[in-house]
Formats: sequence, structure tokens, C-alpha cells
Amino acid sequence: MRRATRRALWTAVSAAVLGAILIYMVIPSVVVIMAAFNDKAILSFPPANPSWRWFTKAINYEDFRNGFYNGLIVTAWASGIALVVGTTFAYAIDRFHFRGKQALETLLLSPLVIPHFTVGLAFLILASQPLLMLSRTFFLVVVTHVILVLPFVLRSVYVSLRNLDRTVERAAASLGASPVQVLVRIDLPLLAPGLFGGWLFAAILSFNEFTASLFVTGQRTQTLPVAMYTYVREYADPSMAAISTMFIVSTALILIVANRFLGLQRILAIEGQR
Amino acid sequence: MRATKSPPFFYWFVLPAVVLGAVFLAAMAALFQYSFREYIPGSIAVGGFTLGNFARMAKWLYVRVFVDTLNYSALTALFNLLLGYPLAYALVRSRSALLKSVIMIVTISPLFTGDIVRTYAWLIVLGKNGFINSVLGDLGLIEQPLEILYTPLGVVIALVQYSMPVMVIILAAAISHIDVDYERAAASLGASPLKVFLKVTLPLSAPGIISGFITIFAWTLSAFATPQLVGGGKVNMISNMVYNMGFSNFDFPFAAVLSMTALLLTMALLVLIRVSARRFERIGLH
Amino acid sequence: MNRMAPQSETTLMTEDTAVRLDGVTKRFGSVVAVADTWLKVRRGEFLTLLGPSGCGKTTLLNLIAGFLEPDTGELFIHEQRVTDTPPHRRSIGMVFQNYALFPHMDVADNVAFGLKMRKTPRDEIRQRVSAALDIVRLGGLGDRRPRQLSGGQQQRVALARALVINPQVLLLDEPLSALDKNLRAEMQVELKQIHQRVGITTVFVTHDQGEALSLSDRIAVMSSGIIQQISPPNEVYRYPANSFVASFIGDINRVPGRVATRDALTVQVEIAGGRRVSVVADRNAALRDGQDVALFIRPECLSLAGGADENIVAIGTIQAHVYQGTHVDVHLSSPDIGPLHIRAPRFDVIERWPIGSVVNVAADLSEALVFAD
Repeated sequence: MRRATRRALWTAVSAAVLGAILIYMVIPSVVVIMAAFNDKAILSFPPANPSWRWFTKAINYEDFRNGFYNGLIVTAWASGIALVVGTTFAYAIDRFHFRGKQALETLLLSPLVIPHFTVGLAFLILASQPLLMLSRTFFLVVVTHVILVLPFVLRSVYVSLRNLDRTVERAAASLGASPVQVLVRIDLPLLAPGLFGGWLFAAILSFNEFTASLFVTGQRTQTLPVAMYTYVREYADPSMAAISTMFIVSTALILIVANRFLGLQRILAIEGQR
Repeated sequence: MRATKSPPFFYWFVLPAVVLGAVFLAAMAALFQYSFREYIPGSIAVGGFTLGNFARMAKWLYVRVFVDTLNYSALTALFNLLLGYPLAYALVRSRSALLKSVIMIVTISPLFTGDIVRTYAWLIVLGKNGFINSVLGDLGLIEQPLEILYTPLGVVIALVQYSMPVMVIILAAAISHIDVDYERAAASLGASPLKVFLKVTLPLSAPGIISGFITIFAWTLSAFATPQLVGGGKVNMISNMVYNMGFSNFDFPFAAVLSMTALLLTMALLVLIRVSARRFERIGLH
Repeated sequence: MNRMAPQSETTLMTEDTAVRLDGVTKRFGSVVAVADTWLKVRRGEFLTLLGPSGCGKTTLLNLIAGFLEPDTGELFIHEQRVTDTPPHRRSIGMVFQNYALFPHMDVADNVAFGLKMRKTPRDEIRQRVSAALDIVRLGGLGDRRPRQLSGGQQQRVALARALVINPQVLLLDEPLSALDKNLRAEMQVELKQIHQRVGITTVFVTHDQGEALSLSDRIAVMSSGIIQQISPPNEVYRYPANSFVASFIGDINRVPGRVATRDALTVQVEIAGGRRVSVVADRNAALRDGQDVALFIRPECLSLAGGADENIVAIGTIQAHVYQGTHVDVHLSSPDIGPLHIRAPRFDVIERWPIGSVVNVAADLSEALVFAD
């Protein structure tokens, strides 16, 4: 009897602690969504008169629209380039021996640990060198983003390559497949989930990247997060909450779909044991 | 096995990475070079070479920001550990699939939502007319709104939530590496659940705890959006100082010096991670 | 070094040779994985490379397949020099230890892969794939995915995939080791039948001597990168070329001793404990008087003797009986010789000589072997 009560108490306490931490984690998102549907311009809780007006305003706001399109352009290029460079280089790291391999790998993985403002400032200074004429161009933004998201593609592809059973390639070779045929007919299909996961990761990160973008974008090239930052500094109405809500919902949707097809737990390597 | 002879596509596979690496190196070299250039007040152009920028670092005004940044980073890492461990443990060991999914979605998905959205959310949670103050006011618990926004407390609250996904991922990976049979063995020898946790699970997850702490510490060191918005200019970290140096004063040489210093600090922390990881390898954990 | 090349090898007509290795050596760093090996595999032959792990047998197979290139020496398949031909241009079929089926293709596409690489017309591919699946008794499973199949079925798909391209040589890399015991026995029979039906030259790598003895036309026993002996299974078992082969194939008792005298017909060996035994001389031609030697006797050639017997070689204390179903393994300890292992065909030994009894051990020395120590 005493043991049973102690057990129940223990369960209740741990549930309460977990619950409290989870509430802390979700409260910002919940509050933003509540604020987005609030009819009045001044934030108030609980929200009065639910309405969509801030969504309409956010969608029609010129800077957000431009930022969104700029962001799509930058994301498409940056994630695409990162996918190609990351895939080929991960393959080269896994399969070839060449001089400077270690150094190049370290260099290209280093943006994982270098502060984004450092990277942003470095590219801003590089672009401002008079000879390059790159200052505040899309090209500059794309290159900066490629550098920042490349490590994620590299790692994702590299892990897939490590998990690839090399005897399958040998089997194909023994059956008459040339190295190029092995690459196209065996490796590429088997690596596809890893490639897609890496690309998706890169695309999401690029679209959301803020710190370095603030340094390297100009009025003409500013991406959505930069436009949102500028908006927050100038206005306080819930348009910002509305657009944030759209971000939160679309990210959640993408993650649910990705989890369905790829398995986030597997990608993040936190599969529990039974 | 000996590496196969380079196939025909070898150069096509290495060349793009080499080009990109060269561009990145050029950018870092430009930054490095700028930190030795003379600042011309009121102008974006820079003067000749000088070591003076480094000497300017010695002012308390700047040193204080470094000290504050280290302080906030340590606090953030500590609270992350305390709050992240229960989440990670439940994520790995809970028998309820529902609870696992909830933790997964709630803790991991913010990682993908971007700095600005997440930071903005804290503005309306912590603000003077924000969520917390309205709720507490409506309940009659406070008369005056609490000052949380634009204070170090607010910044740390936001930073902890900001870096939690990373901490949970690191801790969960470490915990999932612990074979449950160790815990079962301890229980079979008469250890209570609490004892099992304290004597087996916790020590065995030490590598994750240490690498999680240092990673979050380094991560927070380079946080920008959160202190920029939640700090509102009253709470400054290194990143904000770099941004202001560059975009308010156009003092890019000094911004470069501050950036390089932050970079060195981060590198030092990474070396620390490596060293501690190697020590654990030697003991045989992981 | 192929020290034991039988006489018949040199009289082989060259067109009978499917695979030929001329002085092939392969090193990994300072380790010599395959040392100066000369080998001829006859057409249609089932040759097994047998040896403990790390003996070089898999390296040898990978050299034939072309996944590795030899440091020195030449390699021929059907008298074509292939020393530096990449694997995909050699006419080989290979079955891997883990089968290496393509997980993203169904069974039929797996089997068809090699034919597609050879640009075979589509109709012909369909016919040959279904014929190959019939041979391995998997007709009708063409649209399954590899992971939906049992281990034995995957094994057959891998075999069909290697056979369908009509390779000049079939290479099998421990293909049975991942199967459980019963299935393994079944697949052994099947492999043998398929080999007889198709008549394809086969090089089979294994560390399992049972497999080697039951499947092979000839066995090449390898150790430390060297082929120690290459002979038909019964010869390898009954007339091992040296002490390594004797100890590696089957169970055997090793009795230390010294050559006392010898004549044209017999060698007298004084074994530990002072007894003298005589063994046939012709297989032990190189031994000198006074040389330290080891006598090798199979457990089935030893017996427990109640009374006096002229063949008694030792006295020992019974340590354990191990009941094996078809026979009983008796383990003794002899003060002179050390541990002895006797295979008793009758179960009454367990009651007649319980543990702790001291008994005489008699030996049938007609099959005993003597090697320099």
C-alpha cells in the first residue's frame, strides 16, 4: 500500500515537472497564434473578437511579399548548390584519398561552429572589396547561405554513405556495371533519402537564416526574416504575429510530412531502446 | 583495402568543394585583414595597417560585454541542462508513444522555425502588456507590470528556450546509447529506481551532459537575434556589439576585431569538447 | 608457395584451365595476405579455398574477382590475361556473404541487372530471369522485395543473379555462413546439385571444413597467405600435407615424440612416455633419425582397451564423456602425453569406464601421420 502511494506520488511529480517544461517550450508559439487572431491592434489577453485581418495585412505588406520571393530565390539556389557540392564532396571524402582532404573537410564543416555574425561580417567585407563589385547582390546572399547550410548536407550525405553496404556496389560491378553505372543505378537510388533529408534541412535553414542575412542583404535583396526584423523594430501591430503563425504552421506541416517519410528520430539518431 | 584508382569523375566531385572552400577562406581572410586596418570615423573606407584596433579592446565598456556574454551563456547552458534532461530522458525511455511524439514536436520543431519568429514570440510573452503581465494582472497577483523584457532575466529565459532543441538532441543521443540492461542489472541487485538513475543512468550519460553544456555555451555565445530583440539595446552580447559597431558606427575594423575574438573563444570551447570527449573514450564510455 | 602441387597438375591441358594465378602476391602494408601463389582451377571444377580467418582466402577470391589488384604476378580467366581488368569487364558471377541484393529493386530486377548491363534484349531477359529463378526454385517470387524474403530465399536470389549471366567463373564468398544450421545443410545439397546441373567452374571460400569436405572437387587449404595443400577432400582428410592441415581439418590428437630408427617400410617413433610405435614410411620420407616429431592420430583411430593389447600407446584418466548422438567423445588426460580425445562408437563406454577410471589407450596406427616438430 505504501509502496503504491509512493509510486503514484512519484508519477504525479514527474508528470507535473515534464508538463511545466513542455508548457515553457510551447508558450511562445501558443501566444503568437493567439495574438495573430486578435482583432485589436494592441495586444491583449485573452484575445477579443477573433479575426483574420492581420493575416490579410501581413500577406499584402509589400516588404513581406518581396522578402518572401527573395527568400525563395535565395533558398532555391543555396539549397540546390549545397546539395550538389555537399553530395559530390561527401562522396569524395568517403571514397577518395587526396592531398588536403582533411583540411578542406574541416574548412567546409567549420560554419557549424563559427558564429553567423562572423560569417556575415566576413562576407560583407569580402564583397565590399572594390574589385569584386559584389556588394549587396543576390550572388553574395546565395554564397553566404551555401557556406552556412553546406555542413548539414555534407553530414547527412556522409552518414548515408557510411550506412551504404559497399558489397552491393561490388555485386553490381561483378555483374558488369561500370563505375558510372554503379553510381547512377545503385548509389544514387540508395542515397536518395539521405540526399533529400540533407536538402530539406538546408532549405529550411536557408529560408529561416537571419543573422548573417542581416549583414549581407540590402534593401533590394532582403529575405523574409530580415524584413520581419525591420518590421518589429518599427511597428507593434499583430501583422507580425500573423506571419509568425504562418511560419509556425508551415514548418510544423513540413516536419510532420518529413517525419512520415524519413523518420526524424532516425535522422537525429535518438532512437530509444526497447 | 587500397583506395581504388581515381575514377573519371574524381575532379568533378572535388572541384566544386575546392572553389567554395576558397571563397570562404577569402572571406575569412578579408575579415582578418580588416582587423588590422585603420578606422576612419564617418567613412566606410579604411585606412592603412595598424595594431590599434586590438588595443581598443582593453576598455571596460567592451570587456564588460564579453564578461556578460560569458555569464549569460553559462546560465543558459546550466538551465538547459536542468530542463532538458527530463525531456530527453522521457523522450528516450518513456513507454508512451504519444508522450514521445509530443516531446518530439514541442522540443525539436522550434529548431526549424527560425530566430526571428521565435524571438518575436518572447516579445509578446514577456512585454509590458504581454501575456505574462496580463495573466498575472487579471489574476490580481501583481499591481505593476513586471519588468522582464529588456532585462538579463528575459534574455536568459528566451535563450534557454531557444537552445533547448539542441540540448535535448545531444542528451537524448547520449541516453539512448546507455544499454537498458545496465539499469536492469542495477535494479536486479536491489537498487531503487532513484538509485538506478543516480548511480547508473546519470553517470553513464556524463559524456552527453558535458558535451551538451559546452555546445550550448558556445551556441549562446554567438546568439544574435534573441539579445538583439529581447535585450532591446539594454542587454548587449558580443554579437550585438559587432552589429552596432558595423552598422551604427561603420567601424568595420573594430567589428572585425570583436568577431575574431568571438571566433577564438568559440574555437577554445571546441577544443575543450574534443579533450573531454577523448577522456571519456579512454574511460570506455562511448 | 604451392608446395604440394600434385603430379597431375602439370599435365593439365591449358584449355582445361578456367582460372590461372601465376605467382600472385598481395600485400596490405607490411602484411602479406597472399604470397607468391600459383594456382590452376580446372573448367567445371568446384574448388574450395579453406582456412581460418585471416589466412588470405577472401583476398585471393577478391583478386580473382578484380576487386583487388595483385602487387606481382599475373591472372588469367579462360586463358585471357585479366591482371588489370576491372571487375565489370571480367566474366565473373559472385555471391557475397551477406548476399548484397539491391534493396531498391525487386527479385526479378535483381536477377535481370547483369543482363541489362550486357544490353540483352528485353524478351530474352525475361526468359532467362524466369529460367534462372526456376533453377533456384523461386519461380513466381519475382516481384518480391529482397527484405520480404527469408535468408535462404535471399541466398537463392543471389545465386540466380550470379548464374543468369553465364559467367566463366562463379565466385562464392562464404555464402552459407549467415544461414542457420539446418538451412545450411539443405543449401549445401542444393548448391551441389546446381553445380552438377550447370557445370560451372566454381571457387568457393569458407572457413567451415564440413562444407568444404562435402561440396568440393578439390580443397585448397590456406594459412598465412600460402596454399598449404590442394587435393580432393578425402586426401586432405586422410593424407594432410603438413601438421597445419592435419590439425585444421577434423579433430586430431597430437603426440610429441622422436624418430628412433627407420627403414624402407616403417619409421619407429619413440613417443612421450617411452613407448615405441611404428608408422608407414612412404608418407614420411624426409624424416631423419633422432629428429623431434609429432605423431598425429585421429580420435576415431584411438580406442579404450580393457586388458593387454599390443597397440597400447598410453595410459590415461578419463576426464569427461560427451554424448554426441552417433558416438561418444571421451576426453582423457595422460601423464605422459597430456590430453587425449577418443571417439568411441559405442555408448557403453560411459558405464564401463566412468569418470576417473584409469584405462589403456590403444591406437590403430595405419592412418597415423608423423611430421617434423
